[in-house]
This record gives sequence, structure tokens and C-alpha cells, in this order.
Amino acid sequence: MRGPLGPLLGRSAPPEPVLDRLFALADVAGPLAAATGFTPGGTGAVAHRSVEGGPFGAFARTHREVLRLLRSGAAPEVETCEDEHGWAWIRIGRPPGTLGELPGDLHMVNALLQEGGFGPYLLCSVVCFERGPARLGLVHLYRRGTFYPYAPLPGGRRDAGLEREAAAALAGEIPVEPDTGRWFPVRDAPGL
Amino acid sequence: MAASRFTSDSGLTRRMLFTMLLVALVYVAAALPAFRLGPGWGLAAVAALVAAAVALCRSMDRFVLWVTGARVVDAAEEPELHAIVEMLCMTCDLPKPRVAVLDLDVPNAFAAGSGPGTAVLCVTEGLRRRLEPAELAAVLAHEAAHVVNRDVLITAVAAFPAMCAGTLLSWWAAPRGAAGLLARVVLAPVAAAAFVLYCLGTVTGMALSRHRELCADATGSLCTGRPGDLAAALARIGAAAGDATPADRRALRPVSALCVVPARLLSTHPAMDRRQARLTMLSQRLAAGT
Repeated sequence: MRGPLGPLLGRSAPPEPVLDRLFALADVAGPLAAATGFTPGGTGAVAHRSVEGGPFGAFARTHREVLRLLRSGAAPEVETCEDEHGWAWIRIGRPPGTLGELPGDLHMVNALLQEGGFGPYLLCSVVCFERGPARLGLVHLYRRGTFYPYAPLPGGRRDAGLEREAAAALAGEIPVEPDTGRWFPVRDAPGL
Repeated sequence: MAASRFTSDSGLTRRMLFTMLLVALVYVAAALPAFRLGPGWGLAAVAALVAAAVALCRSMDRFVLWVTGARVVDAAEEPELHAIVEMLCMTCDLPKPRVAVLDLDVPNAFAAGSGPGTAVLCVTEGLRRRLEPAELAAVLAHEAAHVVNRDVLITAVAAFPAMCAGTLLSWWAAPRGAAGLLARVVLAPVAAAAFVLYCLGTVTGMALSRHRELCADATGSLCTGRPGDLAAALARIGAAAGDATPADRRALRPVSALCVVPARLLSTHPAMDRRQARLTMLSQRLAAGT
């Protein structure tokens, strides 16, 4: 239930998310490289909640189906990992240098889980860029359909200057999350 | 669609609407005596009620932090709590609330603030010591659900007339001596009305609070996809809350309606086995994918 009545009755449902914007990622590599020198690192990942129900529950079945489809295509590297709080990642590896099919892969994972009824348990998708040892993640917030940059530094800090620079470079290409309070760090994203 | 998975409980909705109607009647009962003095007095009473309620809502987060002595912590101090809250914010599409820690051994958690913009999530040290990481995430999701549903505001609005009536009663009972006795006799009808209002307000407020708890359990589980973790956490907290020291329980009394498990009686909260049963039902539906 949405609108003002939802909270009043104690059952707010999240809004319907916009997935198609993930395809807009294909256009960002050029402007980002021109502005900051970062190039695609070949890694993308989708964060989701590991929903309970056991290995033969509904979520595990959908999850297995996603992995099977990913591995059956042009065979990217696929890995999964889970943390102790119950959040998990599906990591996809493609050859570095270009974004190539990565946006399509990420869209497929999101769309399949959404179709299976597990949209509420998707958090975000991350694409990694690199410049030497430095890493930059471009995070797509599933719920809001917006993107923001995340530049980790050693010791859990963030490179705010680089993030602003990257956001400015991307502003014309993709919808950048306007509320910087929602530029949440994704510390355990694979590839960063 | 999973979003509708937990939202089809029409019985709960009906009971909640009924309770809200009772709360509205309590408000009408509070303003009605003033209207008998004249329409001007009545409007003044309504304005005063509204002004006081707005002031209460705006300062509620600071008041709760002050009255419990909870300490707001930043990400450098408590990276784990902040990481969990950030993940929950992504799932629920919430702006990030402040995170506070309360140095008590009784395991509990509460949300404060009138809406998503001013929210504070608070956990006690005892909760962090006793729960597994996934259970801690489930409890924080339950509290985040209170923020999403604006439960703090709604329970405060429901409890407000009773609180005012209670204050009035304590003023009425306070004066001493012959003049005090005279004032008490003269004001006895007002006190009687306040007493009725106090009883009605308290009972309806508690009933509403019980419904909101069940809703927060469901919304929180929708957010985490793991009702089992919340059930396990509730069992653990319930077992430990039984042997809390009286001093610890006193410290949480002002916010007991907002705690994940109340420190005193199970009055503002539904019975534990009822919550467990509902969470088990959610687990089964998740596993079956219906």
C-alpha cells in the first residue's frame, strides 16, 4: 500500500523500482575516463538479501536459476558470497577495459529476481572502475533507480573529492542520486 | 509480487481502524468540556491541544535521547551498526537515521523521532552482546519499520490526551492544606473527567501500540526477508529481559511503548507467542514463495 494511507495503517510498501536505467551504464565509460582517467575493471555485482527458506525454498530456486542463466550465456565468471548479517552478493567478471555486456548481465540478475517476487530484497548493483591501484564503484540504487559514485580509500575512508568529480562527469549521462546522504558506502562490494 | 505478500491482513487493519476511531473519540472527549463553556473556549482548547501535540512531536527525538541517556554514535565509533543501518536504508528507501547506543545490560532497542527525517535508532549494549549478527539486523529492521510506518508519531498522538489528563490529575492531587482541600472539592468534576480520559486514553493507546508492533514485525520482515531471525532474536530478548535488574527496567520505562520488547508488562506489546506464530507464518510463506 502506497500513499499517505500506507504508513497510517502500518504497512508501507516500497515503490516500484526502475530497472531499465541500468542499460544507460553502457554510455558512461567514455565520459568517466575523459574526466577522471578511470576505466572499467570488468567486475560488476548485485547486492541482495539472502532470503530464508532453506536450500529448496522459493528464493534459493530463483537464485539457482539466475546463476544457471548467467553461466549458460557467454560464460562470465560468476561468484556468490554472503556476510554474517544476511546480505549477499552475486559477482560477475568480464574482461576489463570495456563495460561490454556487464550492464546487460546486471539487468538480467535484477529482472529475474524481481520477476520471481524478490524485488524487495534487492539493494543495489555496483560496477567497478580502476585507475592503477585506485578503485571507483558506480552504484545503482535498485529502489530509487539512481546512481552514485563510491571511491573507497584504505582504512574505511572515502575520497569525497573524486566522488564529486565523477558525479559531475556522469550528470549528463545517467540520473545521479541528488541526496548525497544516500550515497551509502558499499564496503564489502566484490572488486572494490 | 512479494510486496503484497504481507499486506493482506484485513483483520488487523479493521482492528487498527477501530482503535484509531477510539483515539479520535478520546480527542473529542478532551475538547468537548471546553466547548460547553462557549465556542471560543472550545476552539482555544483545540488550538492548545494541537500546538502542544506539534511541539511534542518536533522535540520528541531529543526528549527521548535525553530521558534515556542514549548516546548518538558516528560511523567511526560503531562501524557494524552503521553498516547494518545503511543496508536497511537501501532496502526500505529511508534516509539514514542517526544511530544511538544505550549503556544498559537489558537487551532492547527502540526508535525515536517523529518521521524518517528526524529518526534515531537506539540499541542497548546488552542487545549487542547477546544477539547474533543476523538477529541484530532483524531487530534493527523492526525498528526501521517503526520509522517507515511513522509509529512513533502515531503512538505519541494516541498517548497524548492520556498524558495531559495524567498531568492534570497530578496537579489536582498536589495542593496541601485547607485551601488545597477546597480547591480539590471545587475542581472534583474536572478531575473526574480527567480520570475517565486518562483511563480511556491509556487503554486505547496501548491497544493501538500492540497493533503497530505486529505491523512493524511484518514490515521489518518484508525488509529483511528473514522472519526467522527476528523470531530468534525475540525469544532471546524475552528470555534475558526476565532477569533484568529493576534499575535497568526503570531507565527504559519512558520509552517502553517504543521498545522492541517492553521492559515491564506485555501491555503495550502483543504476547510473545502471538508474535512468534505470525513470524513463523511469514517464514512458511517465504519458503513456499506464495
